[in-house]
This record gives sequence, structure tokens and C-alpha cells, in this order.
Amino acid sequence: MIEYKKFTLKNGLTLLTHRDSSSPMAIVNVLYKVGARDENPEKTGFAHLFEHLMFSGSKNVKSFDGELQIVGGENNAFTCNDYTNYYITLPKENIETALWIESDRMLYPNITQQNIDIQRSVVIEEFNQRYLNQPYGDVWLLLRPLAYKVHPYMWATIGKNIEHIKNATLDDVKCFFDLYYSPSNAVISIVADIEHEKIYELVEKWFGEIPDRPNIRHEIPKEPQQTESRALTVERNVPLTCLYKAYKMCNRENSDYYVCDLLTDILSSGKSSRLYQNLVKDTNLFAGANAFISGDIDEGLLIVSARLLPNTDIEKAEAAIDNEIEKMRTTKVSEYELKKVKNKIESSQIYSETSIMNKAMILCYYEMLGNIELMNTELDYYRAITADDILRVSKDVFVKEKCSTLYYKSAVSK
Amino acid sequence: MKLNRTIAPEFKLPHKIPLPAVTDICLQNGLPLSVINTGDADVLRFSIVFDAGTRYQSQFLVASSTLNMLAEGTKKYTPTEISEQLDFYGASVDFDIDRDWSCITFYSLTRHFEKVMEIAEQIIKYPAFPEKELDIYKQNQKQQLIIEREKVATIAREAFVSALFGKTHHYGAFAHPDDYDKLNCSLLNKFHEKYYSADNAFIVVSGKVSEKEIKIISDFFGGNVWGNTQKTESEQQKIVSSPEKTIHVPKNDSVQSAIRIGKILFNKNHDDYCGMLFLNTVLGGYFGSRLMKNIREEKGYTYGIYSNIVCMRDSGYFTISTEVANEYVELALKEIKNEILRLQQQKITKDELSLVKNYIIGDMLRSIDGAWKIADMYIDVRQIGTGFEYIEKIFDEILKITPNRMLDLANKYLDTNTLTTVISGRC
Repeated sequence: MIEYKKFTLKNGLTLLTHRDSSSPMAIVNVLYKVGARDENPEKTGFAHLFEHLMFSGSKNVKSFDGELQIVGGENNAFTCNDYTNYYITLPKENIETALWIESDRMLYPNITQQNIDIQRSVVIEEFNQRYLNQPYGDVWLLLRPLAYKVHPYMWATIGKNIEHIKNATLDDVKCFFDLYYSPSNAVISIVADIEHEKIYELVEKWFGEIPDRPNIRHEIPKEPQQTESRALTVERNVPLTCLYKAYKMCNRENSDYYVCDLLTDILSSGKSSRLYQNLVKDTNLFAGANAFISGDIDEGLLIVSARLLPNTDIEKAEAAIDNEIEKMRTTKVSEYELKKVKNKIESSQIYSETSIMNKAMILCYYEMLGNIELMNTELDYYRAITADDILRVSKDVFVKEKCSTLYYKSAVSK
Repeated sequence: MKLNRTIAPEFKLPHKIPLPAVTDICLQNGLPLSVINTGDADVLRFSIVFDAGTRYQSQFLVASSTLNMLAEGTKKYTPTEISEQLDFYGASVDFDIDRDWSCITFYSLTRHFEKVMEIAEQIIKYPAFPEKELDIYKQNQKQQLIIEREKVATIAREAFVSALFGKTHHYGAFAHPDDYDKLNCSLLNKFHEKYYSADNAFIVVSGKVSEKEIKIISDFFGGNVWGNTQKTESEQQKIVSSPEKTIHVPKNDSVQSAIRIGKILFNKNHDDYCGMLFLNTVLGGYFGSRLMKNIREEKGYTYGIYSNIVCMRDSGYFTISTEVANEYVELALKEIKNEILRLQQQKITKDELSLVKNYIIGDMLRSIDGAWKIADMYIDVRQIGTGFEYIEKIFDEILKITPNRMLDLANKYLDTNTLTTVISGRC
């Protein structure tokens, strides 16, 4: 349970405050409602490149890092398919420095051609380091375009094609800023041992004068229902063959979202889970198995993945996985099993609220979803799920025609 | 009044670090228990640390496998019963090991704490190491290690540490995937018998802790002496550093090369530890560091470059690490060298000094975020034989660092002729 206060500035900026007396630090978290799904299909990877560029300084703050470090602060950011999140931690006495920086960045970022040239190169190295030079690093680059044919989830935040990053211009950057980095397209959350009203006053002082700009959001194309099973086989220089089965599931608003979350927990949360007990321990075919949901706002994916032991027949392994999936579709889970995964959801929520950083991010995330109260009531949705719900949703989701399978074969162990 | 955006807001930094109080208790059997009562949430973290790191093993992977197999069946419970119960109570357990120490951590809701401790007791005191479970573990871990060793970062790190300490030294040795094949239950049993005992451990509990929880811990772990320590100090092995100062480990299918540069230093009790921590921060210890500015932000050669001071109980080392495109290796090495020379030749300015000072202070404050992180911090100081007073001492020392001290330390420790360089990638 996170107690909070919500304020809306005249320019449309939403502020959420939460008081926590356990830490000497303050967290200032700013979320912009723009992610890779908002990108032009010809200019992918842009939201993420832009996030890098947002560290180039602004009209009145030459170096964000420098100004923050001198007051004992630190900042970073991440981009995902649905949103972009910037965060600062600093001693609470110095919170105004964070507000100065974030408001100046929202007003007048100072991005030059030289910044673009450098960050382009950094992002290309990031692409190399995280996607190409890691075993299994390109799985999502392959799986996304297999599962999505229309929706922009078909590309990863790093972009569809590194050429897109190479071609980014200063004009693109300016245009992106104007479209998406306005006060009414942002949510700010502040967690600190400071009174709510005092925080509001300070935020009003620094952000109040920022003029709002119209949010022209283009329609994100809806992915049509998948009606045929899809498969892709690749061979890579990795030690073990892996299998990824990506099923289409509902969007974040749908209450079946929670059912999907629970059913992947039944499959793979903890060592007592089905995939671990029945596949990893009992079959001698797998080195590991997992199930999870992608957690996207729009219609997302429910993924079942497995790592095969060397010399395992891939068809045999897939049949074993299918067998577990079939059980979910045909047999009701026991009340005990259901209670177990619910308990786990509850405890992990309580654990995550022991960190002020997590709390700040949770606040912004749920506000972005359009229903901040959900962060405190979501557990009720989970509690209400029945064994019948699990069966119904399993039947609905685990359908061959809604599945995209990636066979990621080891060139070493055949 | 119009807001003046051109001037930075005023700021101040604390002169003291606000650490939570720790209550040290000696349980009836002599086992030390440290209690850190913090936070509002009804959760607890229980960590028990054993002086049972990899340095004590006579054969590769015995120490880590003993630890990781603790929950895979006990005299009373099957492995499935253990995982069922932990999962059912929403508890989780982590196993960590380094060269010197092993640590078992349970996270639990306060209301289920007693049940979780009952299982913890079984796991820690009475593991069974069943053969079937060990076989599965060996098979899966072996594959995991094979994957890990595909990464240039892993290859370079292992080759680097081996070059510093020697391939047979307990701080420089690394297991090969095939070493998993040589493990058996009796090795694990023997290791457990020898090192997992009340007089070779300490406990740190943090979160919402009341007398009730202390009583529970005391009942399960603090009564009679348990375990049977026959520990003999691990022999002081001789460090045999590689005479080669530049080592290439080819990995030809690699897009990037991993670079490691550094040398042996000392542990956290050394008089120059704090000074070197500071110097390291200036060079590569934070996002605004000189290496990051030069090699990422000005040249764009890498996604990231960092330097670190790594400390073990009896030694430690300094390391610079990065991954760059194969064609940038020489350029990056040249810039790294330039940055080190600059530290040796020019005094750092007052501005940079106070910036780094403030950054480090902020970083220390940041580590007090929640009961989980505070426990980590306390375990760390407990392992070097002190309490939170060590953090206070470092904090005071940081405030007193001068440019001259930095110059002296850069010359004393970072002579580039004494550094070892390891590169893994396409040659």
C-alpha cells in the first residue's frame, strides 16, 4: 500500500508525492508517455536514441551529471516500448537541483549535431554489446517481427535496423521533442521525507511556467488477430538450443491480464512450479524452462521458453512443453496451487515497496496506465481469480494459431 | 518574482551519514546476531553468513555446489517439499558465494517468519545432498557455465584475475565446465560438515524485527552448539602473477572485444583504501568519470567503461573494464593510458575534487535505501571485522581528501608499467 497525493499543474503536468521517512534521499522520477511503439516504422530506435540525447544538457544547465554530482545526486533513464523514464536520486535537502534540471530539460534541451554523432556511436556499441555480442542476445530481435506484423511492438527499443539510428537528423530530434516531451505528456513522482504541499510548491515553482503543447498522438495500428501458427528457425554459435513459444494475449487494461500473469507463475515461478518440476527435473531434456508475460500496455505476449540439454531431440522437447500447456487447457488447477501463486504475488508486491526508488517508479507507471489507484487495488484482482478463470484463459491463449515459435538452434551441439 | 534559471539552486550536504542503529546479540551458543530494525513494511530479511567461500575448497566448485544444494533435500524434507513450502509462504531464498564467504538469505513476510525459519533450519543444518538432485544440478550448471564462458567479458575477467594472482591461487583460479563432472555427494557432505557450523557464522536480520522474531531465530539457531567445526585456516598461498603484461585471448566470432586493465592492490583495512577508492572514482568509478567522459561521451567508442577497486579478505585489485568494437581496441587503450598519465602529472582541480567528494557522499547515502540494502552494507563491514563505524570512518576520510594525496596515490599505485592488460575478442 503506497499512500500518495496527486496534483495537476495548469499546464497539464501530473505530480505524485509519497512521503517516506526511512531514507535521507529523495527520488525524482519523470515519465514521458512515449516509447518505441510511438516511432515511425522508418525511424525506429528513435525513442531510445532520444533518451541518450536528453543527457546532452539544456539552455541553463550545461551538464546534468555535473550539477547533480556536485549535490550528491545521480541520474539515469531507460526506454521501453510503451514509455521513457528518467530518474534522479539525491539528498532530499537538494531536491530543487533535480527540479531545476528536469524542468530545464522539459523547456529547452540543448541538442547539437555533435551530440547526435556521438550518441549514435554509443548506441551502436550498445547494440553490439547487448544484442549481438551476447549469447542469445538477438532473441527479441527475431521474436518480435515474427509475432507482430502490424503493431510497432514488432521492433525492439534499440530499433528494427541499426541503419535507422545511423540516419537520425537534428530535425528528427527537434520534431520528436515537440511531439512528445510536453508537460501534459509527462508524469512526475517524488518520494522523499518532505511534506506533500511543500513538494507541490517547489514543483509549481520550477515546472509551472512551462507552456503546454498539444499532444498529437498518432493512432497506433492494432495488430490483427493471429490465425496461423508461425515458426522461425535460426542457427547460432551458442552452446544450447533454445525454444521460444510466444502466444498472443490481452492488453494491460483487460482483467485477464492478471490471469495470464498468474498462469505463467503456475508454470514457472519458483522451484515448485510445473515447468521446473515436470520438465527440468523429471525429463532429462531441459537445462531450464520459463514462462512470463511481456507486460506491455497493448496486446502483449505470453512466452514459454526452454533451454535444451545437448543432444536433445527438439521435437521431443517441444512435445514435452506442449504437454504441460495442454494440461493447463484441460485440467483445473488445484486450490492449493492457486493460493500458492497468489501468496507469491502478494509478497513480491510488499517486497518491492521496501525501496524508495521502486515506489517512485510504481507511482509514475500506474498513473501512465490511467488509473493510479490500481497500484493499491491490483492485488484484489489477483485475489479474485478462480481456477475456472485460469482454465478459461488458458484455453483462450494457448492456441496453436496464436503462437509464434522461435527455434534457436545451437550450431555446436546438434 | 521571475524565476532565475541561470543559477543553480543552493545545496548542502550532510556532515554525517545517518545509519540505522544495530543491536548486536550473542546467542546462547555463541552465534552473533545483528538486528537492524527499519522500515514500515511487515517484511524481514534473514541472512546467515559462513566463513565458507571458495578459498576453502580442495576441488573446484565444491564450495558453491555445497551452498547451492542446501535446499535440494534435507533429512526431513524432500526438495519438492522445501520449494513447495517456501513458494507457498511467498518466501524466497538466495545463495551467494564469493572467494571468502558464503551467505544464505531468506526474505519473508513477518507473519510467516516462524514457518520460514523452520525450513531454514533444516536447510542449513541438515542438508541431505541427494544424488539425483546433484546430477540435475551438475548438468544444468555446467550448461550455464558453458554459456557464460561464451561472453568476452567473462573470458577477459577470468584471464585477468588469473594473471594477477596465478591460476592456482584461491583468488585467481576459475572452474572449467568439466569440473562439474568431478563432483559427488560425499565431497559436498564433507564440505558442509567442516564449514557450516554455529561457530563459523554470523546472522544479520533486517526489516520489521521485534522481540518475537529474535526469539524465533534464537530458538532455531541459537540454542545448542550445532555443526562441528574442524576448520583449519586455508593455507596462505603464494601469489604468482603472470610475467606477461599484455595478454590476448582470441574469440574470433566476436563483434566487440572486452578489455581489462589493472593490478593487485590491498584489502579494505589498508591505509590507502579510501584514497584509492576516491582516485578510482575520479578515473572510472561513476558516470561522470574521466574515462566515461573521454571514451564514451567524447569518442563514442563504447557503451560503457568503468574502473573498480575489488577487495577480498586478504587482498584486492584495481581494474578498468570495458567492451569496445574490435577496431577501437588500440584507440581505447591509448586513451585509457592518457587518462592514467593525466592523474599522475596534473593535480585534480578543486572543482573536480569537490564534485567527486559530493558524488561519493551521495552514493553512500543512496546505499541506505530500504532494509535489504542496509543489510548488505552491514554484512560487508561485518566481514572486515567492524561495524557501521567503518562507514563513518570512510565518510570522514572522504571529506578530507586533497589534490596532493590524489597525485601521490596515482604515482604510487598506477605506474602504467605495473599494469596488466587483457584483451578478449577478434585479434
